[in-house]
Amino acid sequence: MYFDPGTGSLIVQLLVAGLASIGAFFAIFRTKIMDFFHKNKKEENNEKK
Amino acid sequence: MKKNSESSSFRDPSGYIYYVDQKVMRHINPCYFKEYNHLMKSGLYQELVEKELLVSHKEVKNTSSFIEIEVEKIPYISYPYEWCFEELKDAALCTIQINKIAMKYGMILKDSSAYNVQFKKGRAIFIDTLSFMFYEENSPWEAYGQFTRHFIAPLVLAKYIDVRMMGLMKEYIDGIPLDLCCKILGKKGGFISTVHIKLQNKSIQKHNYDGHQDIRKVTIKKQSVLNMFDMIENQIKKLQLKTYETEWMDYYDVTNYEEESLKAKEELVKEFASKVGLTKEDIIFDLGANDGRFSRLVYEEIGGNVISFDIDSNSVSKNYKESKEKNVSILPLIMDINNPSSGIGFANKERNNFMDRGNASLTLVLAFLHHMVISNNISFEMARDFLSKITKYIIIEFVPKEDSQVQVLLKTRRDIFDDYNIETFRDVFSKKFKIIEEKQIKQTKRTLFLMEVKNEI
Repeated sequence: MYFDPGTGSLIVQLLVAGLASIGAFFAIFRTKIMDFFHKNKKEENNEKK
Repeated sequence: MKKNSESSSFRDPSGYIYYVDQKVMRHINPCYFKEYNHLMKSGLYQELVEKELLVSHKEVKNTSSFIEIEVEKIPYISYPYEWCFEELKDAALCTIQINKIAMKYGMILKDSSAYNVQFKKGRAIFIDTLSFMFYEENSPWEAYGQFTRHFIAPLVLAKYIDVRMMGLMKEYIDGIPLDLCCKILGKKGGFISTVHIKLQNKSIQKHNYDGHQDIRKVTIKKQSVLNMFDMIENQIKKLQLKTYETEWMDYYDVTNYEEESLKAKEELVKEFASKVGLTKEDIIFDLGANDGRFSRLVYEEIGGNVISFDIDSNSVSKNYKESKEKNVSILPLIMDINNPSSGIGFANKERNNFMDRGNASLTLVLAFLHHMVISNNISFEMARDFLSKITKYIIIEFVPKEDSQVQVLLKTRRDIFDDYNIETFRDVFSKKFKIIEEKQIKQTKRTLFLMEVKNEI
């Protein structure tokens, strides 16, 4: 490293990366729920056919 | 350092840029050999070059005391304070994308200066081959603070306050200080500012004096750093400027060009441009380019690399979006030609001023001279001398006083321009330029000239 990264900017990443990880977790969760319903709908449609 | 070294290339001890003839060379010091070899052998370099995210290079010399590479040339160097919102946004996304790819190969960017990104064929491309360092397991991203100052701060200021705030980048060479950014934003700024600017600023203020004591080591899981990159990427992608209207937006609709006369002007510009023998390496300037209508016309006719300058960021944005879509070598930049970019940084040499950054082979000065002369009191002599310093050929349009566009400019000010006529224009310009062609644009009183700079004896 050839410049000062700033301690404050390093420490705050604990929080920022934490928030991002919570966001990522819920995003996966949301996709799973969406997939679940989507799948159900698809199956329903297939059954109808 | 060698003689013709790049004046901004002094901070990083890993190496430096220098120029030989028209070639861009990079000297790599032994302290960076390990990283460089990993970049080249791991597959990271190949992936980045294939995806057109990093400039390519070829190795010229590889000795035990230095490595020398010849780097792919960028047609025209531009700076973040000359970019429109979308250009800065694409430069930010390019930086984040590189980080995400680099992490797969155990590397990360050690700096994230906006000056490390340039534009080629309507695409943002990273130019610093020596910016990669090994990613140390469980460590935070060291360049996060710099990324925030160089990219997030100007983008959110542009979105939530005013697009002209991006000009602050010119005042602060290492990015907009976050405390200042917080003050300007106040309560505005949305979630992106709360997280990256306000929270980070608090943390910076709190740990301001940590240099005096032992700094505790911050550990963050690799996956969390990757999640952070994803979050930043998504947040930046979502940033959009509200559309607003400027005086130049519907320029071609309200100017006194009838469909037919505009066509006639286009034909004339094409005809004149094709008379100038240019190669694809040549630089073409378009001054007061608006949304780049004539930039595209000339590019399609003769190729080259067109740099379209305009003062209005909205027009520049419009031009950039279109150039990006068409993948053409047109680089739209925000610049007031009556007050072009000055040199900034150490000894005013780190970021070059407009005049020293390279000249054009051909310059379009279409419906622009009257703005210099009548709106800015620049004499024909001054305009001529300026143009003769930046270009070899000009295609210049003379708009006479009786034209409604000039009348609009004169309506709100006293007419002190007794010498504003085509005869004086011709006399003054022919002292430094040879007039090759002169034709009146059909159904208008405007005249188009093709001129070549006379060699000074």
